[in-house]
This record gives sequence, structure tokens and C-alpha cells, in this order.
Amino acid sequence: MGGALDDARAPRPRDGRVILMRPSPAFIALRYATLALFFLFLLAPLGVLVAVSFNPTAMIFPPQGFTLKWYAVILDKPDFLHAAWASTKLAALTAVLGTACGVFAALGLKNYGGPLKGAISGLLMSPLFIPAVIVALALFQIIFTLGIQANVWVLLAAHIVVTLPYPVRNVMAQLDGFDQRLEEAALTVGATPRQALLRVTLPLLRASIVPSLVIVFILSWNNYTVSVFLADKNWTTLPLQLRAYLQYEYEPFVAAMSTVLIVASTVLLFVMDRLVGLGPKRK
Amino acid sequence: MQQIRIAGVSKRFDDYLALDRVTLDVEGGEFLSILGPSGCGKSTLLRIIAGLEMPSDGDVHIAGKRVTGDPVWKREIGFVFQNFALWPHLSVFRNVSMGLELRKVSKAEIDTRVREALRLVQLDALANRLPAQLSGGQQQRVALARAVVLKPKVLLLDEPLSALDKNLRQDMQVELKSLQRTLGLTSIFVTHDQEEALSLSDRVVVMNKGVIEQVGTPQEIYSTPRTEYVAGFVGEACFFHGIVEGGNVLRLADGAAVPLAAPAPTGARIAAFVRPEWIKLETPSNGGAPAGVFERLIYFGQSSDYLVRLGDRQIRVKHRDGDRVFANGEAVALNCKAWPLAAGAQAL
Ligand SMILES: Nc1ncnc2c1ncn2[C@@H]1O[C@H](COP(=O)(O)OP(=O)(O)OP(=O)(O)O)[C@@H](O)[C@H]1O
Ligand SMILES: [Mg+2]
Repeated sequence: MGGALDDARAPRPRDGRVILMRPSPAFIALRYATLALFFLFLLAPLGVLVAVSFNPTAMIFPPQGFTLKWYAVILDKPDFLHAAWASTKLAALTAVLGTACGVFAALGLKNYGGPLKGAISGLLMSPLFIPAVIVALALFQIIFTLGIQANVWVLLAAHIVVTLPYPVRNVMAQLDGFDQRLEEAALTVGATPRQALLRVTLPLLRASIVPSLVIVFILSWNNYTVSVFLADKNWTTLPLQLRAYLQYEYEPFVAAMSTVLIVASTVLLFVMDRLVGLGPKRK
Repeated sequence: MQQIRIAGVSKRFDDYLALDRVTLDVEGGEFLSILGPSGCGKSTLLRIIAGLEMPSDGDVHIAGKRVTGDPVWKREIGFVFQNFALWPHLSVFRNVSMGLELRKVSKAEIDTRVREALRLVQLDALANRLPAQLSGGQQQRVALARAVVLKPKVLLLDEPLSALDKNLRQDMQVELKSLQRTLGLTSIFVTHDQEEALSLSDRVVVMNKGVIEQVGTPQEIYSTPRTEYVAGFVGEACFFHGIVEGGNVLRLADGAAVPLAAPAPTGARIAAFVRPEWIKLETPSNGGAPAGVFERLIYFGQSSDYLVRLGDRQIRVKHRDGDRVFANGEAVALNCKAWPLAAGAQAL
């Protein structure tokens, strides 16, 4: 085997490090410009809203004074507090159940190699492509036809359905690059497939499960379209409450309430980032 | 006693036959290598023994018990994967202890046995690290400790050293072998590196395209291969084709005569081969030994080779101390005994 001999003697780099090209200044400028525009369009309106919430008199920008009274008003409105609590419970349940469904769907799809694979994953993703209002209307039509009263379980199911694509996609993406041998290694030390799932696969999937939980929570928490069709009187969620209030009143209280929501979402995202960022790499 | 018995195992992937009626026995405490080119079915065979793959046909026995239908987790095997497959979210200690935890072994015993296994692979100081914080060689050792801590009936290793660089690989070969000896573990070691297979094993299995070409001790495989394929795969070989004369001489088509190292049926058309170190270059005489032209010397540092042109082939000859120095272009005779290949002899 002359080839083998020659190979062994050929000088070989220890690792194939690639030196990436430095981007040109024009490209860097473009990058920053895009970023600036992005922040302008996304954050400026939010900034206006926050500013308005400090306005003592009316929903006007720029504010004509500074007050925190609208924040105090929040606590005086039991309807809003009740709605916030309802939203929180609903979003938490949706996040946990929806993510669990997503994880199982993704795991099932990975192991299922049958002819319906494409169709099933397409169906699971369909809420991304079908307007939420249509999904909600369809569900409303179904419970109406079946003669079921709108109730929290229907609402929960609907929230899970419209948010399901996110956990499914997140987990499937991670499973795609998942080293099958990690699971096989567990089997070789005596783990049953279920033990392997619990001790190896799920802990490793944390990197996609935690973001799914947070995203689904936020989507559910913010959802208006589905809730407006399916929520009953006892489960008026915060977006519904805000919208109902806006029909009659238009004062900076709404801006204050929105600011609280923005801050809450930001905090949640920040916490997630810390959690996942610290995840499997360091402990 | 046979610790592993593979009886007529075949494996079909769709319409591709990855293993074709493989039969093999492995003795208790034996270190057996499976050697073969990429895609010949080595991993498939190992995975079938482990239970990670089900055979399409045939049976697997471990320690006298038929395990063909048993799932992996009941087989009491240790498996070392090519890229180690350590669990990245668990510490070195937990990687090794997982199997014991699953067996509900007491905490105290887990601690003792894991420490002992880690000491065996010289990693006791790094028990709390995560796999990502280890070098390749250390990861390899964790994978070994994880496999042996359970005192498995057999140890299966799928190219466990191929991810390591050359020096480390040689160190690990020595360590692996001594670990296997110490524990008296029946081991099957898959590799496509012939030197590794020859130097480590009690016996070597050479596979090609889903079938076993030959099983034997490293010496048998290297010196008395049965087929051209085996001869060429485990080392450098120069083949001669001709007709046997007088039981122990091979007459080549160009009239040259090569003495055979073992008798073959007179009149048979057979193939025989020589290894570079079996040949001695001499000044041509009237003996009728194959004659060639000295082309050049290749210098490697610790050794050197001669290149000799023989008819239209170029063959390598190992230089030996005290050899005469030849000039480029000088006529030489090749003094050697060729080993007749059994497959060739059987052809007639
Ligand atoms: N799950 C599978 N589905 C289809 N074909 C497979 C599968 N696993 C292996 N094969 C095929 O079976 C043959 C043997 O594969 P195997 O992995 O056993 O080779 P190998 O000898 O281990 O090679 P290498 O040295 O490259 O690891 C290959 O041709 C491979 O393509
Ligand atoms: Mg392989």
C-alpha cells in the first residue's frame, strides 16, 4: 500500500483553521444603518407610548408634565388586575402544555420515517401560515356547532394550537443536529429508551425547550385574535380588557398599562437569555 | 469458552447487503480486531453484537446465551464510540456513574467503583470536569471508564482511537491493551488501521464487502494470508502469477523462477506474494531469479526502501544493513521466497 506510506509522511496541518475574510467598511456601515432603522421603527413607537404614560393630562406626545399617577391607577382597577392574573395563568398553562406537545411531536416526527412525515409536520406548522383569526373563527364555529359554551379549556386548546409551531420548530431544529450516539450510549450502559430520553435527550433539549416556553408564554400572553372569539366572561385576558377599555376611555392609563407589559416581556426575555446562555455549556 | 458467538449473521439495508452470513467465535478474554476498508460492514457487525442494530438473519450469543432478540440495555456490553459520545451536560463522574445509577447501586458503591474506574484510566483528578473541558485523549479515557465500570461481559470498541492524533493514538493503544489485560475483558476492536490491528490483537478478522476474508493471529494474517485482498490490505505486497513447477517453484510468464515458501500442487496456476522485507537484492547470476532494474533509494530517516523496476511494475524492497549499494539503473536479481496464496492454489 504505497498510498498509506506516502500519506503518513506528508506534512499535515493539525487542524484546518480557516481565516475568515474581514468585511469591507461599506458592508459594516450598511450593517449599522440596518440596525439603526430597525431600532427606529421598532423601538421609537414604544418609546412614544412610554413617554405618554408619564403625561398628567391626556394621551398626547410630547408629554406636558411628569406623573406616575397612571401607574397607581392600575392598582385601582380590579378588572385589569383580574385580567392580568387570568392572562398569566392562561399563558403559563399554554407554555407548559404547548411546549410539552411540541417536544413530543418533534421527537415522534424524528423517529417516524413514514410517508406522512411531510404532511404531519406541515400540519403542525400550518398556524404559521393561516391567519390566526381564521383558526379562531374555525374553532368558534366548531364549538358553536357542537353547542359548547366558550370556556377556558377551549381557549387553552386554541392558544396551544396557534403557538404550537414555535416549540415544534425549535425542538426539531435541535434534534436535527442531535448526535444519535448520545442516546445509544445511554442504552449501552443499561438505560431503557425511556430512561435515555429522561436522562440524556430531554436535558440536552433544554436549549430549545426553555426558549420555546418563553416564546409561547409571550405569544399567549399577548394574544388578542384568538381570545376575542373564544374567551368567556370569567377569562377576559389582559389584551381583551385593554381593548374593551379603549373603546370608552382614551387616557394615559392605557399607556402606563402597556409600559408595564413591555417591561414584563423584556424582563422575561432577559431571564431566558441568562438561563439558556448559561445552559449546557457551563454549569 | 466462547464468550461471543456470531452465527450466520446477515444484515440488509433496503436492498443493500451490508453483512453476508458472517460467522465468528470470540474466546473469553480475547482481544479481537476487525479490520477492513470503509463501508465493509465493521460497525454494522459491532452494532449487531451490541443490539443497536438487529440482524436480518442469523444469531448472536453472548456468554453462552442467545441474545439475538434482546434489547441493548439487557446485553451487559460495554461500547466505545468513535467520537466518544460523552454526555455533554454531565460531569466526568456522572458520565461514568450513569450505568451504576441505573442499576440502583448504592451511593457508596457507586463512588468507590467510579473512582476506581477513573483511577484505572488516570482521570481521578478530573472527575468534576465537563467533557468539553477535556482533551481528546482524556475524553477517550472517560469513554473507556464509562464502558468498563459496569464490568461488562464484552467490550466493543468502534474505531475508538481514530479521532486522536498519531502520538496520542500510540499511547492510548498501549493503555487500552494493558487495561484490557488487567480486566481480562473479551474485546472486539474495530479499526481500519492495519498496524493497530496487528500490534494489539490476539486475532485479527479481515473483512471486505460484508464478508470475512480471513481470521487468524496477526502473524498468520501478515505472513500467510489466504487471498490477494488480505495480503494487500495488511501490508505492502508484490504479487507473482505463474505455474507451479516441481512443487515449490513458481514459473512466471517472463520465464523467471520464484521459489515458493510453501509447497503447492505442481502444474497449478497460482498467485504468490512477497513482502518488501522478504526480498534481498543481489547481483544477477545464472540462477533464474526474477531480474529487475534498480531505480532509486527512498530515505525515511529510521529506514529506507529500494525501488526496483520489474517488467512493467515498480516494487518496493526494504533496505537492510550491510546491503550492497546499487547504482541507479543497475541490473539486480530479487532473491526471495514467495508465499503461495491459498485461494489461488484452490482455483485449480
Ligand atoms: N442505517 C443504514 N441504512 C442504510 N445503509 C447503511 C446503514 N448503516 C450502514 N449502512 C451501509 O452499510 C455498509 C456498511 O456500513 P458500516 O458502517 O458497517 O461500515 P464500516 O465498515 O464501519 O465503515 P467505516 O470504516 O467507514 O466506519 C455501508 O455501505 C453503509 O452505507
Ligand atoms: Mg464504522
